[in-house]
Amino acid sequence: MKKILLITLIIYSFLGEAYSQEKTFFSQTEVGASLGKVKADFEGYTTRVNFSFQTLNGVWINKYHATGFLVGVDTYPNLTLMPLGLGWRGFMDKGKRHSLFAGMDLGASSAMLEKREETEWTESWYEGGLFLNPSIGIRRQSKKGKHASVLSIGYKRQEANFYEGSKEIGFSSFRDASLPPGFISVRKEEYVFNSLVLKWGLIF
Amino acid sequence: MKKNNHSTLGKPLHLILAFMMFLVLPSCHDEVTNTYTYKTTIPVYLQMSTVREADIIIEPGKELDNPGKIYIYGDYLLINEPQKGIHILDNSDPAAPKNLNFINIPGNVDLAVNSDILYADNYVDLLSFDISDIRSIKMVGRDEDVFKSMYTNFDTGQIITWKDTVLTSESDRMWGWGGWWGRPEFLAMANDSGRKGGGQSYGQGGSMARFTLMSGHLYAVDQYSLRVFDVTKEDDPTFIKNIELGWGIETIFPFQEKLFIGSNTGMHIYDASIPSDPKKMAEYSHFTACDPVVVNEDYAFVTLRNGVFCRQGVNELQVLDIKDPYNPKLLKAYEMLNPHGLGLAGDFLYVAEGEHGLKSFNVADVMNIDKNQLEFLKSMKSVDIIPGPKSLIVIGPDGVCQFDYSTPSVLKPLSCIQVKNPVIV
Repeated sequence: MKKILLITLIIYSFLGEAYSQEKTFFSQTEVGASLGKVKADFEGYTTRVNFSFQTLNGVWINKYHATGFLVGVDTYPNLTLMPLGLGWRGFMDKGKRHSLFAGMDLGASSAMLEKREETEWTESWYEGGLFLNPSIGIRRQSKKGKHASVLSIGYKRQEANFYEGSKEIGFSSFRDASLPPGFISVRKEEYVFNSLVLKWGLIF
Repeated sequence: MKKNNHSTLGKPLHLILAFMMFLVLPSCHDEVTNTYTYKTTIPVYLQMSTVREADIIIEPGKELDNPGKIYIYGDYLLINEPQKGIHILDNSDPAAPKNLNFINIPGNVDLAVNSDILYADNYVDLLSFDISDIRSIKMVGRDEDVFKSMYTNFDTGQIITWKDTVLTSESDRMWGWGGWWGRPEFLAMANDSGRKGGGQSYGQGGSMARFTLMSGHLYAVDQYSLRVFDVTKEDDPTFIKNIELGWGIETIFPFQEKLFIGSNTGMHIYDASIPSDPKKMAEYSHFTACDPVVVNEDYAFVTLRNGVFCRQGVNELQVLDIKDPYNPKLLKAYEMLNPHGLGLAGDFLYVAEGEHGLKSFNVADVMNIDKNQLEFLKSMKSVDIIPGPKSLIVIGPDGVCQFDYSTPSVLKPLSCIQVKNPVIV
């Protein structure tokens, strides 16, 4: 999988040269807010506002398309995830200062920023998951044309899991595949965070 | 910028934004699936009459699943499979033990052998088997209602046993959501749906019977009593008397006409110099049934460990002077890593250090045990040790392993019997 991605990227970078663009490399860095609703109690949904940062670095395929690898930081209630993946941007470039663009980011988030917490009795940990992030926005070129600022709105679907286990007391003779060894109980929370993401950023 | 926007892109952008809002907002809530998976014990009611009707079947040898008590009898290893029966292995060559057969005894947790007669519990009953010919085992007796504490109703003959199971419950709420940041408080304990399993200890499946043989008598303990049987006529145990002990009795082992009975709160010592009439001698309260003990004539070696169940707060090997059994004295405590079981063979003490490995000591000088450590096998994770006549048996994650300890300072691995569900350390 990773090899294919790498090869694709290399091909794209050659393509970029073939199109003889002014710029070969593409970089888009954004910060913003992600909004969602979470059912935290039995009464209903509460709105959450979380922070999102992402930087996408890659190459221009041609005047209209750019692609690259992305890395970022997203906060969610109780956890912070680190998305890693591939991104694509398509620009409706009509030679004007403002142009519309669409984006698609795909990948998986890592929960490496969350520590595995362990006590004598319990253990809790997070697991990241896949994400999908389509977006649309506007690009505004700077006067010198060296960089551009972007505003975007998108939808982000992020999967993640939280586990907390009570450790087994003594030695148990009884095992079951549905529980990891050494635990007497495990509570698993599977999350699918559906967020509306509003971002501002820069393209170089 | 805005002006510009409006002039160039205003309309389509607005439309697209509106469309996206329309598409995304209603579905923009988080999906949470909360799955709580837990082990629990569920009660199973049985009629003893039905249990007694069923034949006790001798099956061909089968793989060890999760061994309980291991009993060395001559060239044979008798290994209990809790609640299921007894494996019989030919151990004449400890480097290559052979699995011979399996006695299917429902509700069995303990065994003892006396002159070719194997005693095994079958829920409330005590069974006797003639094992003089190990390839043709015959059941020779059934003593009914020996372990009465399992009865829920003695008159109807109904007993209660406990079955381990895994249950799952679900909800769609994000439990720990208390704010924008931070990890949820630990909640699994708060969810007690179905956790209550009658307060039984895990894996043991409810009331445990434990027994041991000494001086022609069989001593059996269940949760609160000690029952004495005369087995001088091997195939016909005769019930002699019942001694109330108090709650939480878990282990029994004999040594030099004394019975050491371990409970949750301490260790009872009974003088059994008159085998039919054991008398209470002393009760040590500073170590309990979860602290393994080995004794020789003068000293008792006890390991205390810090764990979830055995919360002693220390990891120590303690040496007690028991020359006067009525007044044991603590001589010295040695720091250990996480000691579990231990085995004593002459002057050599083997300590199972859980995940840390296996240690051996020369204990001829009890005041300088730490200076006489012989080996520390860090790769040999272990929980219990039985010094046998032919080999040192070590129970750990690798199964039931045997070592040649003819040179006590150098353990030589002989074999490991594979176990389907080995212990976790």
